[in-house]
Amino acid sequence: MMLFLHGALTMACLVSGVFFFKFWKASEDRFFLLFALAFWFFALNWFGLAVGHPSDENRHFFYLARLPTFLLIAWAIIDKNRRGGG
Amino acid sequence: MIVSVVSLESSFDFAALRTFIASHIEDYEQLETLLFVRRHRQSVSAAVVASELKLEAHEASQALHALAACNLLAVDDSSAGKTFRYAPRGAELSRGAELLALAYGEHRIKLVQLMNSNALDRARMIALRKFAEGFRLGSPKKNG
Amino acid sequence: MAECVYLMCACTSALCAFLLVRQYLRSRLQLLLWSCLCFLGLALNNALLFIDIIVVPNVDLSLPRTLVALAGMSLMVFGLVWERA
Repeated sequence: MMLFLHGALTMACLVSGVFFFKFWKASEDRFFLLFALAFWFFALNWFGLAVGHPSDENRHFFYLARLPTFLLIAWAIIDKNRRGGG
Repeated sequence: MIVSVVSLESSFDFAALRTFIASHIEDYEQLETLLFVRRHRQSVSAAVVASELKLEAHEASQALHALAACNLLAVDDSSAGKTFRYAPRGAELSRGAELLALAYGEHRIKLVQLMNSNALDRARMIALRKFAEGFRLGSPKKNG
Repeated sequence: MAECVYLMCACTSALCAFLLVRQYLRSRLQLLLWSCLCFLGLALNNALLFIDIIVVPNVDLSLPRTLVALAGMSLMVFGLVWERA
């Protein structure tokens, strides 16, 4: 069951990343590129959980892998607010 | 005469205008409203815009709010009600609006062609811009 | 260190959800609503991760927190596909 859920999450994050990548291509707004990368890192995280079978000792390592995801999202928000105009 | 018209067209930055329209101007109501407020030089209310441009009141209000949401107009709240003035935020928006005004005066047919082409893509671009703008932490510009 | 990361992830997701719902109320763009629900799910996922691993490590919350994340991401994918049509 968990393997299925992690697989589904991996695919959902990959697909979301593809949409945001397309938005970046269309709008040339790097906000969307950062979101695309964030979701792809998130996909990597779920994939790692699916194939890695974390134990109690090393599960922090697996979950810390989501740090790049949320750092990229934070960067996208900060960057959007630093830049003026449309 | 024909040669001079061609040379005028060839020097105009239609690519930049297309990008500006695709991201900020959803329809002709917004186009006319923006140019009207720009010409007016003072704050205007939705009622004034509706009267001058022969629009319904709600159409004028929608256009003004949409233009304010993408930082082309500033909103002034007073006891008399909301008024809007021309205040594009940033050099890029300023240039885009000025290109639009210039095109309206000198290249109107080309402008109409740009407005009509890729209308669906334009709607999508504006949706994307609204999505990204949602992540600005402040409120939309009020009194400039 | 790990606790800070989980909380930071939860706060970032919650901030995104807040900004998205605020913009949705202004513009009524449906994609914003789906995205907001996605980030709410991710915020809940990270919060439950913190609770699961740090607060109550003897209780296994892996299924509910993963389901919450999947629900959120499913809504995001639905919104992205539906709004592109």
